[in-house]
Amino acid sequence: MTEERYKKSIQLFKRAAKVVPQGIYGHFTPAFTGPMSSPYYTAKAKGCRYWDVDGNEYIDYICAYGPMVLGHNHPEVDEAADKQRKLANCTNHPGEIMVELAEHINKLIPMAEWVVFGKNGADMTNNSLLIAREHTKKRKIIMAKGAYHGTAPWTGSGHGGVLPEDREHMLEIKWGDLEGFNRLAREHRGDVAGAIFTPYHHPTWADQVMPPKGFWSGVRKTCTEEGIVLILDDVRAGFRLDIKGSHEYFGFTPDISCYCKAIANGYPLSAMVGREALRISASNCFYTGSFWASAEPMAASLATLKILKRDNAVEKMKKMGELLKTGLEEMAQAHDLEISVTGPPAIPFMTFVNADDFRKSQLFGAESMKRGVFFHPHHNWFISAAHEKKDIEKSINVADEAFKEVKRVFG
Amino acid sequence: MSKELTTARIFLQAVLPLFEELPKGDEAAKKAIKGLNGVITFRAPRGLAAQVEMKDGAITVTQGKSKKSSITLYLPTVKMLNNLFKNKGFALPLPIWGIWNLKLVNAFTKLGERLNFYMTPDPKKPMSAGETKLAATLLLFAAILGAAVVGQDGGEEAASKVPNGIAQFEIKGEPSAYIEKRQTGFRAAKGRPRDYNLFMSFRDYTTAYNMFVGKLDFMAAIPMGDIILSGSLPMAEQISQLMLKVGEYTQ
Repeated sequence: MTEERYKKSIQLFKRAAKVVPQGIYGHFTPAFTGPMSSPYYTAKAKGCRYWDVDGNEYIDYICAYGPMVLGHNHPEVDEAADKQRKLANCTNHPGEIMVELAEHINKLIPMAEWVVFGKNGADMTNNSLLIAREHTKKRKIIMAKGAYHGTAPWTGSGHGGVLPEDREHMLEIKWGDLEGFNRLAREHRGDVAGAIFTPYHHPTWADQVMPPKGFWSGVRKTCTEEGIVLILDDVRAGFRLDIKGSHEYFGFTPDISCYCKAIANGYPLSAMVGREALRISASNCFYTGSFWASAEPMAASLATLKILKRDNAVEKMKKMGELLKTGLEEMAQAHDLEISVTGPPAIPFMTFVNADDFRKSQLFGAESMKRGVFFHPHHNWFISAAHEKKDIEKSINVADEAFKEVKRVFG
Repeated sequence: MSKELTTARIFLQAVLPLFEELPKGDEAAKKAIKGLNGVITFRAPRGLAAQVEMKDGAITVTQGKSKKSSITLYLPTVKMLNNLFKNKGFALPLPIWGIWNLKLVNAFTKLGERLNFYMTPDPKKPMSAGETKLAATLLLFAAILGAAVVGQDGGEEAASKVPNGIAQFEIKGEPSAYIEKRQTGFRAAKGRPRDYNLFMSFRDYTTAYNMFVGKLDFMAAIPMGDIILSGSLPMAEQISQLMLKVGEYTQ
């Protein structure tokens, strides 16, 4: 029955597996969303909904893993992108739009005094380390265990081809452990170039963790005292918690902040902003790529950032997220199931309490998808500004049926 | 735990139990032990001991030395025990007890040759369906039992990252083994657990065999339904790291 629902997806995947390693690789792999019981390929998308190649429709709570902040195919963003593309996109030089966007971002984000652009979040996190090392002439970088900063070997993603030497200068703390951070900073005094953290902890396969009281102010204080460059990896959360960056939401000021995902509503763009003191060091590093100066995504980004502000989209996503959280909690309770919804409302993640093996989540995800709602079993979810109250209500009704099935199977 | 000791424990606890499977699916192995009854005891320093019992055409392997031995083979160092298993052909040292039972030793040597045939196949000679079936079974058990030893010895980073719980691995409907991680450590066994936190099932013997010899795109096999995977994916990820280490220790 389930296989029939995803028949074309699976057929297409079998073709793909002959010509593409893994068939679908990276975080898009269906191995993590529900093999044989989740969509594999998208046919079309609009607003907060999309359709797979089998014609099944979904309310989207993963939003392309974050980028779709205004919803799929947003007409104003697409219009701005189209207009720029027809003029010029990938040429010998950046377009005027690059300057306009840089000026806009520098005004939008209070700590931003310069900005550089790339394509993916990892372009920015990788380069942020270079700047920190160039600026301090030191080697070590402190990060949190289990944090995701991209696929580069230094991030410790644990996949093939990584040498121990690649992580030689990486130091790790448990996320939120200020004492541990201070201890490492002291132990390696004179050799710590930077500290890179996400604004809150959003590991895969685990509940999200908000920063403990005093964590950010403590980290900031130590970084200032020890001359450590504080880097915020705001790739995942940026522009969903606060239009001015997630550090504003949590009340601290990093030295560098990295953005991607929501910055251009699905057009490929990332950005890194920094404080004035790091401008020359940023200038001394070399970063570029074939498409890094492409104008179309920059036009899309400028439109996206303006619309997010104009429509007070951050507040709307928060409200919709809270509505979803409350609804899920009530429905779960009605079925005598204990769930935990963690993280900020616009980036929620639901897990079943005392079910670390995710079997309940996997069944819940599969049953929801079968009924037209894409709830990822292992990865945090994303709300977009295109989600309306009626979409949330429908999703909660679907969750009701999925919870019923979880209760039936697991008791 | 030293690398030599971990390697020795892999040989005794993960490789030696594979001998139980040989007479079930290999005619030459069956013939080698026909009519032989007796117990071979392997001993080495640091408390290393295991016994191979041949009885009525079947083989049973047990850890320790609780059974009455027909022949005892003592390896004076852990390294010598490892060399015994690493040396192609399983040439055995002179026994310290039971020299009159050399038939058992010869049979064991023959079994070792058959195990080599399945565990280190000649790439130029494709296996028959029957041979693939036994090879897949042996590789499955070696990987699971060996991963538990690597995990228990604690020298690998992945061991500390394996979540507590039970992971079951099976070739659809037939051979099954599981590995259990608790606060007290790792253990593994052939058979089916009472419950699981991770379940991995190979569609058939060929799929399993191809995975264990590195010829299968694992991440493509799952979405195609060639491998059923459910439950704790972090467990699968970390146990697979331990499995890879088994090969590194025993090469």
